Amino acid sequence: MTRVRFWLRWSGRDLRQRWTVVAAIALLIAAGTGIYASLASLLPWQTGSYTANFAALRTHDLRVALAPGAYVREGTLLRVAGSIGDARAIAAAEERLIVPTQVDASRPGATILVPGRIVGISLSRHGPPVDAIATRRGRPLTSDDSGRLVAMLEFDFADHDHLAPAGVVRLAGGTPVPYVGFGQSPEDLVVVSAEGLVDAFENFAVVYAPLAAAQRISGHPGQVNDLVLTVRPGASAARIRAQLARALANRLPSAGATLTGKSDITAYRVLYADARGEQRMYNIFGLLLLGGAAFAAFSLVSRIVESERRQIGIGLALGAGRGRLAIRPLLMAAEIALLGVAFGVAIGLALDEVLRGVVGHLTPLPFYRTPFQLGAFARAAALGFLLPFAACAYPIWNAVRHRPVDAIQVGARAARGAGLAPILRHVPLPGRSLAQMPARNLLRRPGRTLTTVLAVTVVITILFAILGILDSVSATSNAVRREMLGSTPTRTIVTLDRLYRPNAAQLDAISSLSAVGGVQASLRLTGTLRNGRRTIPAIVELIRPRAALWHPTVRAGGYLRRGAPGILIAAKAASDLATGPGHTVSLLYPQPTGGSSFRLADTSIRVLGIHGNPIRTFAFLDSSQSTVLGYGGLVNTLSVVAARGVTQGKLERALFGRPGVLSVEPAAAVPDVSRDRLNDFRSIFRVVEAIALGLALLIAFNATSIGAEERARDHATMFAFGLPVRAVVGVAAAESFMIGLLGTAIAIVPGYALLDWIVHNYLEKTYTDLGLLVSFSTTSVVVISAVGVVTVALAPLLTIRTLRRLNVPAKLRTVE
Amino acid sequence: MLEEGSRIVPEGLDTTARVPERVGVAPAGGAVLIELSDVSREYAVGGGRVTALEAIDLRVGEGELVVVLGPSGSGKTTLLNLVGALDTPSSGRIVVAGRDLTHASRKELIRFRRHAVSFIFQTFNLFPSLTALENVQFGIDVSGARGDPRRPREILARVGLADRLAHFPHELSGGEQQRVAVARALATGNPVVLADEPTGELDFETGIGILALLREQVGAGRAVLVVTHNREIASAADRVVELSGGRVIADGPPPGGTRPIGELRW
Repeated sequence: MTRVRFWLRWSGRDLRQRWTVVAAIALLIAAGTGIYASLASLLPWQTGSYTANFAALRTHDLRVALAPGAYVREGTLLRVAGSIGDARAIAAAEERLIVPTQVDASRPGATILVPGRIVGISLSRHGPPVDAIATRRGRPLTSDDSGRLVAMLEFDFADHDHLAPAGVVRLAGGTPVPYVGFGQSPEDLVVVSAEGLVDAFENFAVVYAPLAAAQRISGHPGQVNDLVLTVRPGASAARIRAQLARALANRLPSAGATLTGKSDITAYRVLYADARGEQRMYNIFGLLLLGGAAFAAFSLVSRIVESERRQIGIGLALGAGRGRLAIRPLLMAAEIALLGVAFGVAIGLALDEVLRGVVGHLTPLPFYRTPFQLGAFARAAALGFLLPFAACAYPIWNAVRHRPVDAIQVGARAARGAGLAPILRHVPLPGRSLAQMPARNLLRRPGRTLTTVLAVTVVITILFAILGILDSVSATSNAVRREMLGSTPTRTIVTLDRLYRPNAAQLDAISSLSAVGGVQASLRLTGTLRNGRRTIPAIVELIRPRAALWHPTVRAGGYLRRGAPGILIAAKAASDLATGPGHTVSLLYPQPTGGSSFRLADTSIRVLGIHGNPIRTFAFLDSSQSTVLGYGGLVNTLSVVAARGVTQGKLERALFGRPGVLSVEPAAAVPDVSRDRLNDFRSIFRVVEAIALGLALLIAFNATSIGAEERARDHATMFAFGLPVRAVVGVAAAESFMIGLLGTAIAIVPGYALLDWIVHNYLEKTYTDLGLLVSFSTTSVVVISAVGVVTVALAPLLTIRTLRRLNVPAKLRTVE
Repeated sequence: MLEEGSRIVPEGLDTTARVPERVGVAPAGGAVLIELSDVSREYAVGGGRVTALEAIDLRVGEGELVVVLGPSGSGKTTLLNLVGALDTPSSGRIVVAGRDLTHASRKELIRFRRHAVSFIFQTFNLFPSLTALENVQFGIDVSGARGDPRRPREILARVGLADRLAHFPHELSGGEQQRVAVARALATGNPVVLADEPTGELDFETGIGILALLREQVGAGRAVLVVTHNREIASAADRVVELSGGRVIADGPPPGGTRPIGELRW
């Protein structure tokens, strides 16, 4: 017991003497473990919240959607569902009418004119029986609203445009529709535009209205085109799906019905896939930060243990066993470990608070569940506890393995070093003695220099990857913008309400509008591209090759030729379909069979080339192929540019509500959607970035302050020879500068590799509709240099106070 | 590396030379380089105050080797620190090399240390990452004493280390390290050399070599103030100032006069 007390007392004195260093190393460990624990909490928070939201909103298990333009009488789909063998296993079913529209939510001083869709819903006392709408503002729609012309707006869109919780919007055709609140249905937890663009809430509005109102607004009285249903607990959704598919094929063969399950809901799929993918990325960031902190801790602990070398040598000379001599450094490791865990939990909890806000902002769900993640914190705490011991193990072993005669020698004689040190020490350097000192100091202890450099490298690697991701997002967004706009900044895409002949009066009327400077008609089809088992959704546009107003560019292969078959696809599409120019792919598309009936047709097309738009869904055919595909030269889309002096807003306003116009959307909105979607990360990246920056500073500061302690005698000697504090700080700053420069230079390779890995293995798999361009901007180079080199170089400035207070006479007489 | 115990006396140094005897507390040499008037230094320790030096009056002239003698805690090092502007007095006036340190600003003190005094330490305090030559070059660089680029080599040759230029401190013996430290101090060309127990870490033979080097500096017109508790060393000085309890209890030539360094034994 007495012995234990003795060691504890001695260790306590050690702690009093160097509590700042112990606390600083513990902070490093804590930063790593806290960040790791907090980032590891994100996935359970997100998936737990998603599951709870989807359950609370009575999300459909199965959905029947008719082909675009196909409608059936209200009650038909319910009857089909009721006719299947397992009809009793259906818990609830609801017919809907979903039609595209244009939403004008403009208010004085702000033009808000976006494409959207009306979702006509059946209402019970608590809203729709399936796919409920969570009221975020205003009041919900109930059965009392069933016969009224009233609506709710999708929350994200309304919130983004700061709309009042109640008001009036105008829909295509000019119908004014009062709305009573904002809400979110499960399918719109992530808003998907008509073009299939995900997270399109800024430029796409969903309007929820009672079924009768939706039928009246859209001109489809008594008609529906959609059915959603939930199955009873324990019933087989797959079995019901199969029975329903057979019933639809038998009873509605020309409706082009497609059957999907819950996992096919884009919002459902994207949310879970994003969360899992993001977690993989955050784990990498967390582990890298933890690794950086561990490296730095190892380097610093080594230096502390080394400063004890002489005392260890004296102990050895006095006959103390190696195990006993290891007690003090091990107790120090324990102190660091305990403090590190305590600080780590505190940092993790603080970061949790930050991330709670960030997560809620990233994907605004009706509610979030973010409980304390005991498992993640326990894992991080275990790591945080073991790390200091791991960091101490080698330095302690290294210190106690020396012969007493070597360990006991004073600093200068003990400074022989090993490995490369004797060679590097003799490298000739230019400049005066003082100028040489920083490099000499680094070369004297190459191992120590390397561990400090690597700690900086790890942190800068993370920063490099994060900045690179943001740059890649910008570069991709810019590429989309260039491709969508070409040389026509006001290019506006007008979706027509049906198929028209190019010389139709409605189109002529649009062309002759004074706000319109030019019009180009095309046919847009929503379909699927297939190569073997690989399929991707596609928006195929049939245009005239090299049309004057706008046409896509080609980055590989050949271009469209008048009258010749062949398709241009995106690079990402080619990659996902494992195809390329010269190969053949299948196009599945709705082919009109007369009236409002369609059938799914399948045709083989040769890939002519790769267009320049990073968005995967866009594909282009020569307009002459319209007849081959069964559309006989009809068009449903216009590219319109503004007349000279007419603004984009005025053009949109002029087009809105014109006969034949279903929706009007600036072409620039498409890149905005892709940019906004990827920018969702920005806030979390900024948090990680700030942490990495703090860690870089902490590493540099710790290295400098411990260096200042180690070199106190050198500094005192410099002061004795009349060097000012700034000269001594200058030497330390130059040393840090070199460490920062080396660390940053080395970080370029792993940083780019990490960036490339994240973009291709994570971002592109999560954001499947985008082919990201890997990019690193000059601004980021400046930021990286500023953080990695300048910040690290400036860290010694924080030691000025210590240097000013240095007891020079005492240090001059110090015997190491 | 030199064998322990080997005698190192730089070439050209005459350790048997006898220095003319001087008597009295006033500097016998030329201009006064160090002047302390009624200097006291107190420290706050714990709740009380400790007087390290009390009412010290001392003058050291150009070309004088003065040894400050006294037991541990007598105030020797405090005196040296005050003369070297590493510390400031609680009261009194200090003028060194014509500069009044009493009310000097921090910048002025830094400039003073750079251009007026040179230190030699008991524990050498060489920069471990610099070679012997670079350590000496450091002295030249900081003092701004530019000139012949061969100077650091010449100085090291003068202290007998011509063949140790590229050696790092850990590759030198204690005596060699102290000679590098002396060379570094001399390289500054500053008029006042302050040595704190310069032979404390060294064996007799090596210590003798260092003393000879210091004696040589006196011949070059510098004032050398050596702090030691070794009475034998004191007998080679021009003057011995003896401290006890922070007060000067004796100031004059060594008893029996200054002896040649070669005759010293300890």
